[in-house]
Amino acid sequence: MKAQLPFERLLSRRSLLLGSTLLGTSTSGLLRSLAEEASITKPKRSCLILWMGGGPSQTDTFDMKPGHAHGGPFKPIATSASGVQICEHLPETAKWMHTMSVVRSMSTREGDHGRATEDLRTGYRPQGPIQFPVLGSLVAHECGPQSGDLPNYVSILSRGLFRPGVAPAGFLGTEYSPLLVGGGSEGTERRLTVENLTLAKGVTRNQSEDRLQLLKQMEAPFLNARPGVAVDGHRTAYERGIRLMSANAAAAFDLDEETSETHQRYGQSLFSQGCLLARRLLERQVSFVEVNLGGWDTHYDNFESVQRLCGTLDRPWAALMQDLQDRGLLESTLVVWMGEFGRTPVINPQAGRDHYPKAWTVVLGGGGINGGTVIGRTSEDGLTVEDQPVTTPDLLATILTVLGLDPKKQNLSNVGRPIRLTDPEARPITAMFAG
Amino acid sequence: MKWPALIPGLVFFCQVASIASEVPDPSLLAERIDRHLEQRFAAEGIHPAAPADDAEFFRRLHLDLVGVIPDSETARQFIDDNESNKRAAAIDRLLNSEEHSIHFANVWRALLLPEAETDRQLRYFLPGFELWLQQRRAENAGFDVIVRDLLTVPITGTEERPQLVLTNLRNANPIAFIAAKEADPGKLAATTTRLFMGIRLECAQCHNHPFDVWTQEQFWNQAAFFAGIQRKGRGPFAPVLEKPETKTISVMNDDSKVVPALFLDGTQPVAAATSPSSTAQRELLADWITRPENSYFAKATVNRVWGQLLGYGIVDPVDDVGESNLPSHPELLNELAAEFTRSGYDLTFLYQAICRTRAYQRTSRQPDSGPTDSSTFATMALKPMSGEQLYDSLASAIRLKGVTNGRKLMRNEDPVRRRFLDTFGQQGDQSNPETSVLQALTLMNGPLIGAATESQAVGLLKDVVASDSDRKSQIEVLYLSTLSRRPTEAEQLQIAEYLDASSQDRTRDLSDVLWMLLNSAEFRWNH
Repeated sequence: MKAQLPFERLLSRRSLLLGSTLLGTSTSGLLRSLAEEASITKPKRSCLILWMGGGPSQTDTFDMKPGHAHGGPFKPIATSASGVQICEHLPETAKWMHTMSVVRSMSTREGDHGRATEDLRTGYRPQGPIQFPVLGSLVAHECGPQSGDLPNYVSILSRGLFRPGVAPAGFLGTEYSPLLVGGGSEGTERRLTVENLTLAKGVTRNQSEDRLQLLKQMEAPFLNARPGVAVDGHRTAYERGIRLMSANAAAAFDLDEETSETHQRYGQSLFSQGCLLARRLLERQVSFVEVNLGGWDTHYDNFESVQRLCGTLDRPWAALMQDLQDRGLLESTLVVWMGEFGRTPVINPQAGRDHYPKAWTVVLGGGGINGGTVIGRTSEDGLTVEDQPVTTPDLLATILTVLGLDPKKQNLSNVGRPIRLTDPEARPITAMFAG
Repeated sequence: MKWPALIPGLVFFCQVASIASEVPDPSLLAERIDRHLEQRFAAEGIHPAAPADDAEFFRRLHLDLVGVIPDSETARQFIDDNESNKRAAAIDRLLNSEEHSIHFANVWRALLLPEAETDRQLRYFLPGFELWLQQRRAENAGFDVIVRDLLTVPITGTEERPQLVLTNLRNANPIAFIAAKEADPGKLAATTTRLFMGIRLECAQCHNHPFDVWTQEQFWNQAAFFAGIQRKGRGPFAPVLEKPETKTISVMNDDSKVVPALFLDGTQPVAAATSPSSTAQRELLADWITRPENSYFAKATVNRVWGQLLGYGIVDPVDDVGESNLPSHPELLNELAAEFTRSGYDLTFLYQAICRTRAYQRTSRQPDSGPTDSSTFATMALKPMSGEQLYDSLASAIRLKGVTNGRKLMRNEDPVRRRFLDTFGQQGDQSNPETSVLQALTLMNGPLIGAATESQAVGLLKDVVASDSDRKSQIEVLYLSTLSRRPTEAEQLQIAEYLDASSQDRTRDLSDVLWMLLNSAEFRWNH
């Protein structure tokens, strides 16, 4: 018997309680969303982003330059994809390269962490007052209102990626914000959990129902007199919070349900737990999951750091690919490895590498793409892209296309003009998915 | 026109100006501000919201100036005060309080050192950094003086003996600014121009700015003012030094492209003839930024303070002034900036003026005629509380023990508060109020409210239950403690109904009411 007592009674009475308790007269409410569920065209694939915060070194991972002065000490190894070599410190990942496509010709324009992160995560470079939604929110929006107990977009260990005070879902509204898991208060236990999913000590379900009903009744006048995004967001957050407290949803976040063998395969690090949690969410049809592994900002002692980070990355990534394949989810899940930019091929005097947006690498896998391939090429010294340059909009349009979404679709923005999912100039990398 | 005829008049004008600058009158400026806004209302047929009542005004003022809601007794006294001048008096009283300097330090620390949010090591710097800001604010140092202090923080280290950056945790000192920006000239320059001029240059680091006039070279010209600073080793605690003779920098580490330090208007810094100190380059930059002729400085500052108080900038986002983002009320921005400059960058004067306006004192309840656009300032915006404001207000409302001490120096190290802040984010620019799912869960089920609303709770709940007063008065204390107002008649009735229909356990019933108040949107927001 699980210790977490779910909200069964509250949820079984959801149409009665949630509909009336929290949503009031709001038209964006749950009842409408349940009714609409059938008519929404969901993306045909899920997406998992492994975000390498800080900007990973392409030269030491997926675009090696052995023999060149820029190459550094690491050796390339053969992989399951013929002719594709990657770093010796990613031996497990190497076994999955036949399912992946390496894009070695990323060429972007932002070299500041904040701006580049915004660029790569929204598809647009920051400009004035337009609040661009991040990719996960765009996808969540295409999924329509949250229909089950789990959110459509979960972001793991990624707190630092969201600028304080800036809504991740931008002009789409808070309904499409991610659920953030971890990244703030794991404490010394270093266990990934969603805090406060269960009722406070001594509070019964009956009492909780009473309280929620009282809350709805008493705060209605305040909310109704101040209509707007803030109020909608507040209602939505409480509604989503209550849904997460349901037994089903809470169980999705319970890593103790996994066997010790599984834990061993993934490893113990927070990133490992994040990948395992990602798999559990993808199994439950969550449309967009991201897991952040920070620390790639290697201005100093690049090689020690990259070796250590590859150690953190390699096993859980491979375990995840294995599990997705075993569950028949690999074809329907696009896995993307990326950061906000790459790093200078030139090694600086501190044995580090600095920010480099001009020529860098991302990796896509699963998702029914043409695995075992390489897109684009950099020069021998790694400094320039020599073939098939890929811009930020190109990359995001590729991802959206693989997910079965139309990058040219428009959303109405906060400044009153429609904005496409990605810039109209974007050209998806057709070679990646063309048959 | 002949010059000599003008000169006596000019001298006279300067005298008047200098006298005026000694005693600027905030109520005159407040009136000018309102006239600017109301001209627009008239021209565009906008119906502004009604004035806020005393309780709404007072709660807002407390949150904005001292970062926490008033306690129940303070709120009650203000509401019941019959003095006609009580609002202006409250503004002055709060501005003179120690809590105001603490809150100011907290707000500006978050703007200046946002890195401390993610880099735990940097948090060791916070007590000293905040103490420095706090002391400066407490003595009402001009904002130019504060900025100058920050930009010219002494770095005395040499190649042989680099300077330690963290020697005494409690030593009031802005050196954390250098450490948090990793002693990196580009980061120091980008933060400086963004915060003190409202110009985002970081976008020009790698290429020319696509939408504005700034070039990549200008970014590095700014960085060159900090180019002499070096860090020996890595991490925020690594010692630093500065080489005053370094006045150029290579663009993105490309030694074939070296640019000099140049001001943003293209002029060249001219060093004073006196012996150059290690901070000479930075002093030149600080002088240029804070001189009255540089209107960007005053505009950026008044716009930021305006945004903090009104919830929306005259230029919004507040630190992105440019061709693609024009002010909603250019004349108002100019006048505010000019008056702020004339006052000697007197923050107290600026706060006084804005807080006295009808604009600041309007209700956040939308007018019957319908919603108004944020950029017209016809209705008070809903401002989200920062994590600090929310935690401190919760702690005050539930009468958490030790909170008075907690508000002082040690509060950044309080682990319970820290954990709460990790979920609720720190103070910063928050023009988009947002309650996250995790925040909702924390407020519904978290330990802080949980402990305050359980049957054995000490603090507010226990005090109310133990009081001899009737049920109506008990409810009133709960409302005054949380929402800083009395309940309406209708609310009293509804609560009474709830209590009548509920269990016979009085503590439990009142705990439900308290839980409801602490989870309500009205508590969650600065409205």
